[in-house]
Amino acid sequence: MAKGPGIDKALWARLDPLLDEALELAPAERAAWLARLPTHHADLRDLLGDLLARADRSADRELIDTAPRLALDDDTASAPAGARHAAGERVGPYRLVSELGRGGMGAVWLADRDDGLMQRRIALKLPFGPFHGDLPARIARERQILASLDHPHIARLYDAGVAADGQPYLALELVEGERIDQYCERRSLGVPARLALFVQAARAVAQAHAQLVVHRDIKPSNLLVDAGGQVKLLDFGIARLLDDAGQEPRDVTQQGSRVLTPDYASPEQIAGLPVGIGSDVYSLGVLLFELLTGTRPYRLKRDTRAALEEAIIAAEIPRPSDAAVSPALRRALRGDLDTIVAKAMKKPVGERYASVAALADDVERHLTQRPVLARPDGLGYRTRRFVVRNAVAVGTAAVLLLTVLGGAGAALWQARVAIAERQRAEDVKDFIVAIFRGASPYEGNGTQALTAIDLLKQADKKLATTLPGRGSVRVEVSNMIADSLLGLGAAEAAEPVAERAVEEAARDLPPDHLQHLRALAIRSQIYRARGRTKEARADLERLIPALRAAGDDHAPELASALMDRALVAIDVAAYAEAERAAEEGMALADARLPANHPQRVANAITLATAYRVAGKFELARDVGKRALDLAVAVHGAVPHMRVLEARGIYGRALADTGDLARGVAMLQAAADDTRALTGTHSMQLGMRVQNMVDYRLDLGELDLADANAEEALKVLGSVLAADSLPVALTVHTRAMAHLARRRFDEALAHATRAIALLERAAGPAHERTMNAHTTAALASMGLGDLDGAAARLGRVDVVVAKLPAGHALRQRVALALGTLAQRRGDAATALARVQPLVDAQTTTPKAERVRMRARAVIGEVQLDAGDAQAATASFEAALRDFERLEVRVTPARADALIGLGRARLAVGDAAGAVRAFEPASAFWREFDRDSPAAAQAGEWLGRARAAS
Amino acid sequence: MATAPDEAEDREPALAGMPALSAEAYRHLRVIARARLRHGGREVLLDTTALVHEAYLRLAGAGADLAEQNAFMAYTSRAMRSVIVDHARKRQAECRGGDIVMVTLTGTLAERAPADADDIVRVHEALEELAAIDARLAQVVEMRYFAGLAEMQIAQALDVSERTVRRDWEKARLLLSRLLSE
Repeated sequence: MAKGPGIDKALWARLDPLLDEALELAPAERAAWLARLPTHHADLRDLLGDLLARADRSADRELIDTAPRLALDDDTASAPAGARHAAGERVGPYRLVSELGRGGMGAVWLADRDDGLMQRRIALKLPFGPFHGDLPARIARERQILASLDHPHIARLYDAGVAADGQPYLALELVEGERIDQYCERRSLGVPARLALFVQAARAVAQAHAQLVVHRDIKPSNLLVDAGGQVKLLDFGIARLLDDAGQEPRDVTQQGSRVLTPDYASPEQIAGLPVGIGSDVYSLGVLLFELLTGTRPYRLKRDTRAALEEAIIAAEIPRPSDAAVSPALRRALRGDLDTIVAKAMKKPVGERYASVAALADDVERHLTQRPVLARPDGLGYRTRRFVVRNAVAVGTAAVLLLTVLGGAGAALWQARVAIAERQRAEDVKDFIVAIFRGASPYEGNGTQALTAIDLLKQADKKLATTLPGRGSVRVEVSNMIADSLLGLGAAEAAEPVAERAVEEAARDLPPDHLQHLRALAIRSQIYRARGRTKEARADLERLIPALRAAGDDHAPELASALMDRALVAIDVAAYAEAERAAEEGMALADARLPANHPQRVANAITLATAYRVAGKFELARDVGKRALDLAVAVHGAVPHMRVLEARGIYGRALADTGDLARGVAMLQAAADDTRALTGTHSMQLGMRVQNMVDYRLDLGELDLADANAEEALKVLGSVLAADSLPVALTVHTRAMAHLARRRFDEALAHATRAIALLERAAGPAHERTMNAHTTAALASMGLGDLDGAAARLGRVDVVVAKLPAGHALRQRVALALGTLAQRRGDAATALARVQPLVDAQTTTPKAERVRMRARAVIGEVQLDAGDAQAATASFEAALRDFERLEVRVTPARADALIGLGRARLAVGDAAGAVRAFEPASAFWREFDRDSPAAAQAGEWLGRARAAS
Repeated sequence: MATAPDEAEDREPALAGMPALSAEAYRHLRVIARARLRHGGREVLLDTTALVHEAYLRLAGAGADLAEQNAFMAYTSRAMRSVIVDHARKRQAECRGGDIVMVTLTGTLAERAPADADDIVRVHEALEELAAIDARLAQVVEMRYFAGLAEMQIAQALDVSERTVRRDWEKARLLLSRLLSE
């Protein structure tokens, strides 16, 4: 466009009204308007045309429409050489290598220390000015404090100072990592993993606070996560170091080069008030919000302090769950995490967590399913958490109160989320009150105290009538009742509750609803406890894929379900499957759950158990040790069910690997603590006591074994269904104790009952059932029914032939068959059966005991054959084993002594015979004075004495 | 205008017809001006208005009358222009022959192409010419472009209608465009 003549004031006086006129018109009409211009304005036509053309040119529009924007001189120019550093240049004692990045605060260089004192590659931060006050003095003052911050999650400040040209520098630990928010997003981390990272960061901040250093600028870009998943906190205290304490409160705008985004700043920070640890608590709250939801609670414009102050005070902090993008995430955040974030981000400092440590504690409590402290309306909530956490441990009526209250708390709280369920929550409250009225001696059933189980059953019955309707509340309450009943050992009563919960969940809840999945999980556990392994398995087959599909959010539930699958597999002797499931569960727990998540303990215990039943005793012992360490780390040394379980499995594994005395002592202690914790009627106590029986038999502690077996049967019989697997196994244990004591009648009776129970609970061909058959056969043998024993053992022999050669049951059966053949005078068969047991290389405690017994059988065979010399050697070898392996004299050992005496008598060593007969006779007089064995031992001793 | 930028930074610009401001008042205006510079862009126009108000209320107290407020608004705009132009000139001096190095605040902010220091100085100079032709048009540009005030605010300060402000702005833009292309 041709330029016209310059415009002066006089010309403008003519142009101005014409321009007004033209600009009134639509752009399309302006050309015609120009053409119609009166002749006295014809000289202005070109100028007007030029100006009007500019009205449509966007380039011109933009030229001045955009307010000017310019880097401030004091951002760069007044910072000594702020933008002009170059590689190779020296700043203080450092030589710049390459620029790592720059931001509003300054530039960061990769640098080497270069003063001959030390070689160290660091990140050198070169802040831009201006710096008010006496910066060198301030740096000198703060440097020591900051440099003393030594925490694995805090990037160290090695050095700080001011170079000769006035450029301040900060030598920081070089951290390679990814911003925490990007790290979480890129890996699509689940909530627990994000929380674990957050806790790392918070712990680091807490430690710095303990040294009176406040970060003041916590935000994702200051939190890096390295390849090992370790968080590093950058720039600790540096905001303060560079800040000007002497100046009046600075606008955030003015401070803009420091507080890069006000979104993480606390209200007091924005108000320019003095900031303390509460400010870091707030910033961590914002960070937690962002890590959980992927978005910030609010975005503030970089603005004046007053406007920001207003905005931050007016800003409604949304609940993280409301900001969640998926229903699953919303559910995960609802409750604890909403509460925690809200408390951390309270506007008045005094209402926030008093410390970052308290915030971190609460997050960890949430992670470990313990009650968080942030909830104002405590009891109901805390009891709910308690019950969830101790679902297996609840064992007294006192706990029941908590259980039912907990149910109400949960229901009420959930209802707070969904208005639609509020009425239902009121119903739940009334319902709970009604339950307790019923339990009060002033109402209802007089003076008779209700047991915990009674109350739960009542609660369930009333649930059906007083809390009609649908929804997650009913399912949740049902789950809790079923879970608590199971925990109390009332699996039979729990079963219909759980079944109804699953039905209602299927009808009312989406398949991935947590309460739906929980209902399935609980039902499968109940089925398992009821011996309905097939149904338990079917539930798990449904549950596990659903949990896998739900992703990381349900990692604890998945780890738990894999554990249950392993346990069910153990029940049906599918040990390889059990091992796989247990290993997967453990790996998942290790990878996805925080170090101190209780589910990890449970998975470790299960893995140890899986290894143990598979005969991998060393592995079982090692994992058992780990389980115990984990349990103590998570739950503390104070008796907690998981600690006791861990002691149980570790104790057993110790005994299995040969450390019988220590193993049994650990089991005994665990049993005593269990009794103290759960009372005398709990499944856990019964199991623990039962577990000792076998080892006590191996140790020859027959009285204790007998007492344990009796107590175990009594306890388990009272809390478990009579046809449940644990009861079946315990009946067999009792048979074993009777057998060891040579009470063959009782042994046979219990073994026969055990067989019937096991055939139902585990299956007719299950190895546990075969084991019971073996016990029954040995009892029959003791009673003189050799044919009956032979028939039974023959059948067992066929089944156990499928087991691996070194399997304990196969060895036991071989020993029994050898003993039977010897009794029948079939020396060849006897030797064929027992010689391999002696020759076997295995050194497990069981195998060694079998070898010891096999040697005695060989001695008997040799004695029968008249080879007294060889028999003496065999019995002596057997007795050396007894001596080495056993602490007490037992009937079996007495038998070997009798055998040795007889052999010695046969070779004319009457004195030697007396030395053998004497302890045997003494044992029997003590053990069972009126038994035929006692009489027989006395007779042999008399004969030997007579001969000597 | 100032010729020695370093001095101009700390010196109250002498503005005809305006009462002298205290050192504190001027320092506060500089804060506002720097905010303008940092943030630029249209999106903060309204915020800046609030900011200027706040500055005024702080300086004058709540009792100041409307006429005073309006005068202050005009004064503020002039002061901001002064500060901004000083910055721009200083930048020109520093970066002779080279591009201006921008230090971005964060990578996440939508970055607008920063106004070149040269542009600022050229607009400033063209505005001087414009003032000679039509003082009110120049003042509208000053208030909008340099001070970032909203049309409503400008209308109030100049005691004209918003429509007039819009029209003035449009005419000023056409003239400035022409002046700048000369």
